Amino acid sequence: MNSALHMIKKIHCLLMELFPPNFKREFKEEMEIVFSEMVNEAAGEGKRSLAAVCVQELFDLPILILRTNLEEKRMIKTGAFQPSHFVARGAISFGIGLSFVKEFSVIFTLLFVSAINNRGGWYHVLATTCGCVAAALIGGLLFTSLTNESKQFGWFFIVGLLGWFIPYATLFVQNVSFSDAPLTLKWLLPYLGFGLDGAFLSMAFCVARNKKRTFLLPISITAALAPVLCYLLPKYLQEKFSINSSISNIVFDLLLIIGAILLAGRTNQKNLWNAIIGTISLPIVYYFCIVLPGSLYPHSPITTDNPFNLINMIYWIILWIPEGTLFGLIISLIFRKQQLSIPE
Amino acid sequence: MTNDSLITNHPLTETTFFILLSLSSSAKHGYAIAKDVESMSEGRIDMSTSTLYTALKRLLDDGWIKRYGEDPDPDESGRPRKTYILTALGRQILNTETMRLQSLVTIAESRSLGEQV
Repeated sequence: MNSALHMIKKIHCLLMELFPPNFKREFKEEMEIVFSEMVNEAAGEGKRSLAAVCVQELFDLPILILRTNLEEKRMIKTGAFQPSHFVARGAISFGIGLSFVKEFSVIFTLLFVSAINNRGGWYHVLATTCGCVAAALIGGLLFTSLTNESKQFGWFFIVGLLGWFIPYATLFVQNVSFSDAPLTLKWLLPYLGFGLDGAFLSMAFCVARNKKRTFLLPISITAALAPVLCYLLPKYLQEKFSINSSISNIVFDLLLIIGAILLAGRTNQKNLWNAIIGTISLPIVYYFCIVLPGSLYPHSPITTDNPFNLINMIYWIILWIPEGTLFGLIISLIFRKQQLSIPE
Repeated sequence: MTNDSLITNHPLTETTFFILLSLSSSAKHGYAIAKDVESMSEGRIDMSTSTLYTALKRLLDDGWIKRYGEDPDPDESGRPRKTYILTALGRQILNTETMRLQSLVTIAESRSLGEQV
């Protein structure tokens, strides 16, 4: 029995090595002591108790090792919107993260679209939706890591994923489905697109921070219907009433933005203004960070022909970093009052 | 801390609540916390060491508990055992959660009394 106990403790000690260095430095010795005491006590009660302790430990260890490693290795300490002195670092981390996520989400989507480039119509809707799901998975992870919500990792991930997915899927379906339509209000669409981004990310922050689980249903329904409706509506209006698809896209985007802001407002009265500021800030930031620098330096958009063009990728990542940083700054300032202040 | 920020931390998970409750009376080391939680929850919450220490780390990071010192009674191999205690913030969180739970019980009791009448 003693040798079995010794071996169990040894294995546990080895498994402890999988925890991140900071965690080990702080708790490894204590955990070994406690585990040793638990095992000794269970051994005194019989083999069944001993097995139960070991199984429970084995069951919990993998997910907790993964979680602590994720928490330690991500940008959590610098990226989290925690006390005010972290705001600048958090905003920069958010900017860098957002930039890479945007870059790769665009590439993901373009790759899906290029795979079925000649089919058009519903194939585009399906392909862009698949691409945006992949992008939203990364976006959701970024959202979760930057909000430092280790306590509610899964919950923040789901809200972040949906908040990320809706504007992306909508914009991509609109772009690939109606790119040949006459664009009388062409200049407005990119700004609205960024407003859509701002509205849904702000809404996701409001819902996640206020832990409003009941809002998950309307957000999920919107996520399911938005890509389909933003294809059907302009098509229907164009065929039946000869309404320009740019106009119907603008109306559709505006409705989504209003919906997101109202939903955010229902979490908390103050959040109505928070969401409005978040929504307006992104198009303004977009103008100063993308439109102005873009007009100074010639560049090409990322298209299905050149998704992996290195210079293009670097160009867009550099352009998106200040945009994300400024938006991160705005978001963190808006939500700062709701943070838990950590006493010295 | 404002009421808003207190409210955003609630409801606490059962494990967090019991850990805070366990540390509210006196400083305890990890094993004592695990045993106390198991006893208070009548065996429902039987934490593994990894669950216990990831929870303690989170509570330390959030400033709800702090390290108190070393237990004068070392473990069987003579190694000192670190103890933890509730901070003022942790106590405030625990009190708020307790009041929240009490108000829920009061509502439930008044409703069930109403049904009996």
